[in-house]
This record gives sequence, structure tokens and C-alpha cells, in this order.
Amino acid sequence: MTRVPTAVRLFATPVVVAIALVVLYVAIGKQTDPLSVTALTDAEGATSAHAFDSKVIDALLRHLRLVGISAVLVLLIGIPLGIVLTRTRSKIVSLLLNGIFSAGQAAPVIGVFVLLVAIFDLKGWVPYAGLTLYAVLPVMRNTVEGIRNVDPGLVDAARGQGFSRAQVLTRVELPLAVPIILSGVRTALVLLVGTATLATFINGGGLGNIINDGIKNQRDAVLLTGAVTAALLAVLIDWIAGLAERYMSPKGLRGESA
Amino acid sequence: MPDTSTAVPSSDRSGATQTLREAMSTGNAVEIDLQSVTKRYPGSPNPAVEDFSLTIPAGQIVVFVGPSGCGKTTTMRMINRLVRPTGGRILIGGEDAAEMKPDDLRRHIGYVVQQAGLLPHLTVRQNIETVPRLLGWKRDRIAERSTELFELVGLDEGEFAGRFPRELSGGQQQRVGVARALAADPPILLMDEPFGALDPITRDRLQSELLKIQRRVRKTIVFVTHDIDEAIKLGDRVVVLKERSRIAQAGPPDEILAEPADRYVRAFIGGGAAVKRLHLVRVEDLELEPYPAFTQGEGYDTIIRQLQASQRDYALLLDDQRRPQRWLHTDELGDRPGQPQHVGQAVSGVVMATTTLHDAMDEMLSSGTGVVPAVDDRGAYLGVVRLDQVTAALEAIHTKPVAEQADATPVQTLAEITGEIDRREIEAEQARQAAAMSGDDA
Amino acid sequence: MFVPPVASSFFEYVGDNSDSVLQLAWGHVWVVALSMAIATVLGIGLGVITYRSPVASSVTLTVAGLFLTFPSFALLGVLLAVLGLGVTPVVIALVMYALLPIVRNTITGLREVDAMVLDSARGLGMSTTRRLVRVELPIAWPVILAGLRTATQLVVGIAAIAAYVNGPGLGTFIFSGLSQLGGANATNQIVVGTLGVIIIALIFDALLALLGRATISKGIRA
Repeated sequence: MTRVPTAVRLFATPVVVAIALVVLYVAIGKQTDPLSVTALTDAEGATSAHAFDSKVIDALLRHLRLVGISAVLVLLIGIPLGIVLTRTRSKIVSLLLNGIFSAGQAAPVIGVFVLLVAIFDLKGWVPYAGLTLYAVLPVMRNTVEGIRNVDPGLVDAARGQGFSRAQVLTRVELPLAVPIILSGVRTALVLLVGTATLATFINGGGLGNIINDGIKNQRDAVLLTGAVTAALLAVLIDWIAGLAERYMSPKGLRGESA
Repeated sequence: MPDTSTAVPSSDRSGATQTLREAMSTGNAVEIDLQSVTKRYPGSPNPAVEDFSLTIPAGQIVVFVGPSGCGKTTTMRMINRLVRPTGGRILIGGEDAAEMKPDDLRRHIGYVVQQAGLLPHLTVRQNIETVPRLLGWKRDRIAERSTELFELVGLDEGEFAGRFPRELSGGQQQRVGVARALAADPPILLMDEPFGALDPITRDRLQSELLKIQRRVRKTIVFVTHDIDEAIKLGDRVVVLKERSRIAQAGPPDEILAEPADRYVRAFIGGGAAVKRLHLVRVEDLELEPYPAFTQGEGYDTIIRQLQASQRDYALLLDDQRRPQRWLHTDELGDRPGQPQHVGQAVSGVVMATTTLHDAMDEMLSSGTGVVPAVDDRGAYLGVVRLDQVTAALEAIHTKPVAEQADATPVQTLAEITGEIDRREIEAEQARQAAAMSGDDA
Repeated sequence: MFVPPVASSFFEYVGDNSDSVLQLAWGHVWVVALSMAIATVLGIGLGVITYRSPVASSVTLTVAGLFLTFPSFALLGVLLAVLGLGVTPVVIALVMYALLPIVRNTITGLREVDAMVLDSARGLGMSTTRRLVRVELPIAWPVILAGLRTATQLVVGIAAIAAYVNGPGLGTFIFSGLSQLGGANATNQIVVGTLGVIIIALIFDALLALLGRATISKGIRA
């Protein structure tokens, strides 16, 4: 790999995102002809461009809430579940596991969301459940993979030093699995930002609302505002997760993989 | 560093009557007694280890040597219960190992593996301090012990403590591995082909240092290898194993070389048994030649007088710590009293007092000098070994008639024997994996 | 309120609507196959062109990675705004999502080819192109194929959302069920759509696995 200065690599993303946001804001703000403003406000049932601004900000905050709460649930469920799955050596469990992973990967998010609503109605927690269900897979899978990836020779050496099974897990396996688990968390976060745009179909709100309003009312400016904001949010969160991946991995492991 | 000669004699520090529990607190070596130990893996027709009985005396290095797959590692791993025996008993200091908690047992048995097995996310210091921390030692005691260990294995604490394993060479990693195993001063050390992955030069050096360390610490060491030369060099006793870990022959290395019990052992020793026996004689066993030597501060007149008195042509120039620097010829001394560090020939290699004659001969042959200076632990000059001293030792060995037997062409080649065992190895490995799947190791 | 789908009524529903089920399933398969064909040519091509240059491959991977970061609904929305309703925006979006796994695995696969093998191929007098076709691509093929499988799984799922912007496919059932939530056949529709997508994904995966069996040299099969 050619060396790009670290500062450039680290801060290129937020700078680009900030520029894109400014461009978006200016472009939308220029929609000053009465027709367009009316259309914007019509779409929202609001009376001014300012009201639209706050509408977008509300949707953004709601989006972040969907992503944030689901992410916490995903971590609390995915990592322990992944650990439990590595503690068993039963063939049936690992077969079952592979089945769940491949079916889960193949299941369309939107189908799962709508099915949840069909079963549980439009309850407030349904979007969180749907998002969590969907994003838990990569975290669980990477936890399993990360732990299985640990050199058996190291585990053996640790057992030989007198580590108990629990100590092997907490002091050897989990620390060594951290890079792979973190990359699963990063995948999950990006997935969450993306799938949260679909929450609009099950009354979950978020930036999907803005996109959907734009599509339904054929107002491209509204659609673009929602879509570009969601995309920039995804890029930004991916960047933050990337930083975490980089700086939270154990120091002794860094530099082993690019 | 205390001189090796001041190390406490083993008789004062160990005794077969001492139990492991007592030894745990003192670090004194204990005896290990394996009684009819057997390991059967489910689904495998033959046991991996069959009816293995052996007493490993306290404070000695016992080497299990045999082709890969013969069960030597499995046998060793039953001592710290990484493999649970399916039959027989293992007494450690007279106590049944099966009655101790496995984790507790392992914390008091040092364990060194090939590739060192260091935890890559921990620093060298953290790796070394692993077991003392598991045992809940006080912070001061751990720090003090670490300093001792860095010195013991010859690593500079300031330089290496904060490094991560991947920043170390293979040899350095294995030094850390040994330090980690010795950290809690365990009475027993198990070593599973620890030097197998190292280059020959590093391996040689670490072997010699292990012997040096053993003189200081006097542990009961069980060492597994497939390299007969390593076994002969390191072992107080060598146990040659064949398939299913059956003992082909056990005894002091000299005896194994001089009187191989059967065809198998003879084939395993291979050719050049007499030369191999040079592994058993060390430089310190010889009477070293007192070649004239001088430091730069000494006057030339003195050294020339010494040279004339000794009737030799060469003298050694030492540095201020008495480490050999250059060979100087009488002519060079007489003519140019100016700068001795620029005349003569640089000393290309030295041997330690603990170096075997085999390695000393290697050194002489590779430097092409026929003489090599011997030095002590600190590198200070002791005397000189000559090639004819080595050949004399070789002749002494050759005059023992039994030695010739060992040199005779084996009827069955080693390749034939190991080929047979390789097939078994595959079986055994499959069985091991099957057992691992069913959660065999306690 | 939740109406439990009685097994017979679900199968009855599928039986009664077999025509539209098959038609939409076919549409789904078709749009996925078309997108994957384009993405495969594009992805392997980009991989082959860039894998020797660290800068070019890193730029390609960054861009393809960026595509995958975009929320699918947002990307479809943007393409819709630019291109209008229909198949075109859907295919473009699906190609963009499929690109990263294919390019990444192509580059990884080609880079992992043993230098000694390449050297001996050069020693045999093979030209650069010939080496690529006869040595490098066949050796990298298992890795590339794994990328194709990942990409296909991804694309089959995303294609379900495309129905919302008038794309073809089983997503139509899901959105139709959503709009009639509580209605007699809403749950049946949703289940048909979701299950259908899963089945299509599994069939695609099985076919690619078979393709692997047929095309991966026995000498390098894991």
C-alpha cells in the first residue's frame, strides 16, 4: 500500500461529508420559486421552509435514536450469543447456526419488517425489534468467527499455564477476537443506518419518512434531501466505526492486517 | 549474576520425599512417577500411549525422543493433565496428579511449547507475569521476579519488557517462553519441542543457555524432541520411544550411544554415534591450554617475555573486560609496539565452558583455526581448546568397543521405521481431534 | 389484528395466485440475473485492471465500498429522481451493491496467487495475458466465486425493496400486503413475498455452488 498521510486518511471522510452537507443545504435553500416552496411545504403539511428544516432535523434525530438503541441491543445480544455458540462443540448446533446465518442473510429486510407488523401490529417497539433482529447476525457471526480464529496452539499454551476455561475466554480468546468482532459491529452499524430508512414503512419514522414523502409527492428536492442525508449519515458512522476498529484493537495485534 | 559454581547443589534443594504442594511454595524440584499410564482415544483401535512406566528423578532433565506421532507429546501432556490419562497413575512428589485441580496443577508446572505460544496482544512483561498474576502475587513480588527472569534468560528488561511478541525474533520469543514458564518458580518444567522451529545457530545457543539456566534453577524438566542430537546434548537421561509411546531404551545418553538396546534405537541414533558422543564432553571437562594473553594496558615487554617462556607463536589480546579480541603473532609484537588493536587477526569465535566438544569442534572447523578461546558466562577469557584435544577425546570414545556397534549400518533404516509410524501418527491425530471435539481435556 | 395464517389457507392462496406468484418470482430472478451479469463483468474487469497497482485497487475498493455504505432505499430514491420509475434505476442500484464483493475478491484472489507459481509460468514462456487466463484467474476463481455468492445474496434481498419504485419482483407482494394490513390475505402476501425471496436466494446460491464444483480445478478445491 502506498502511504497516504495519516491525517488525510483520517479526516478526509468528515471533510467530504461536511462539504456535501453544505452543498445540499445551499441547493435546497435555492429552491426559492414559489412553486417549489409550496411543494415542499405541501408535502409536509407545514407552512414554511423553516418548518421543513426542523422536519428534517427531527427525522435525523429519530433516525439516530433508531440506530443507537438498536445498536446497543445488537451488542448486548449478539456478542454473548456468539460466545455461547462457540462454547458448544455439538455438530447439530453448528449446522443449525449455519442454517440461521444463511437464511438470515437471504431474508429481505423489508419482508421481515412487514411480517413483524403483520404479527405484532404497529407497536412502537417493532421497528427496534426488526432492526436488532437484522443487524445482530453480523455481530454474532463475527464473534463466533473471531473466537474460532484464535490459534488453538495459543489456547493450549494458555491452558498449560493454568488459565481456567473462563480465563482463557476473557484473557485470550475475546481480546484476540476484538478486531474481527469490531469489524462485525461496523458492518452492523452501516446496516442499521440503511435499514432504518425502511422503518418508515412500519411507522418507525426516521429519514425514510422524508425519502418516502418525496417519492409519493414526486418532489425530487425532498427525496434528495432525505436520501443524501441518510447516505452521509451512513458514511459518517462507517468512518467513526472505522476509527474505533483502528484504535480499540489490542496494540500487539495492530499492523498484522492492513 | 551468580557464578554457576555457586549454585546450590541439587542434593540440598530437592528430595523425592517432597510433595508437590510443599514444592509449590519453595520451587524445589520434585520427582515424577508415571505408573502404567495409558491413553486411549475413542474410535482408535490402538492406544496412543500404552502402559508407560517411568520415574523422572527430581532436578534432572529427562528427554523423550522419538519420531513424530510416537506419542511422546501425549505422554508429556498427561503430566499437566492437558490430556487426561485413561489408565494408570501419575504421582508428582508422591501425590496423585488426578486428585489435584487441573488449573491449579498447571499453574505449578511450567509449560513451554514450540513457537513459544506467547499471547500476541500482551507485552513481553505481561506475558512473563501471567502465572504470578493468576496466582495472585503482590505487585512488588511480581516486579522483582520479572527482573530476575529477564536476567535469567538473557534479555534486557529495559529494552524488551514493553515490546509485543511479534516485534521479537523466534529465539527471543522462546527466551520469553522459558521466562514465562519459570515465572512462578514451578518445581517442574515441561518443554514440548521448544527449539524445533529455530534456525540451527539460535537453537544451539538456546540449548546451551537452557543447560546454564538449569544449573541455577535445578528443576525437574521433561523435554520432548524428535532430534536425537538435542536429546543427547540436553538430557541427563534420554528415553527413546517407539510407537504407542513404548520405551525402546531409557538411560544416560552415553549409555544409549554406546549400547543401543536394539535395531530400532541404533537406527534412530543414525550414523556417527561416536561423534555424537562428543556432545557428552564439555569444554570445562578438558584441561584448558593457558595461552599467553594480555590486555591493552599491559606492557609489551611482559607479554613478549611470557610468549618466549611459553614457547608459543601467538598471544591473545583481551579487552578491558578480558574478552578475547585478536590473535597476535610474535613477529607482529616485536616489530610494531604501536597499536595492537590494528594488527593480528580478529578472534572469529569463542566457546563457553559449558559448550560441548561437538560444538567446539564445529567452531574450530568453521573458523579454520584449530584453536578456539574458551570464555566464562561474562565472556572473559579462560584458556584455549585445541583440535587435538578434541580428537583425543574422540579416540578415547572409539576405544570402547561397544561404540562401533552403534556405527554399524542399521538393518532397518530410520525412514522405514518412521514411515510406519507416520501412518500411525495420522490415525492418532484423527483420534486426538475426535477426542478434542468431545471435550476430552478436562 | 394478527390473523394466524392457517397452513391450508396459505397454500390455497399460493395455489389460487400461482400465476402472479410465478410471474413476479420470474421478474425477481430476471432482474437479479441481469444485474449480476453486468456486475460480474464489471467487477472482475475492474479487479483484473487494478490488482497490480496498489493505488488503483485501493481507489476502486474505496468507491465500491462507498456504494455499499449507501442505504438502499436512499440510493433507489436518488436514482429514481434522476432516471424516473422503472427497471433501469433498479438494475443500476443492484449493480452498485454487487460490485464491492466481486471486485474485492477478484483483487484478493489474484494477489494470493503464489509468486513461485507465477515465476515458473513466466519461465515456461507464457505471455502476460496467457498467464492471467491460464494461471492466475483459474487459481483465483474459488475466491472470486465466493465474492459472487455474497453479492448475489445481497442483491436478491435488496431487489425486494425495488418493488416500491416499480421494479419487478416479489417485493410487490410484501408492499401489497403492507398496504392491506389487517385485510384477509395481507399476511399470506407478506409470507409469499418474504419466503419467495429467501427461496430464490438459496437457489441462486446452490447454483453458484454447483458452478464452483464444475469449474474449480480438483487440484485446488478445499
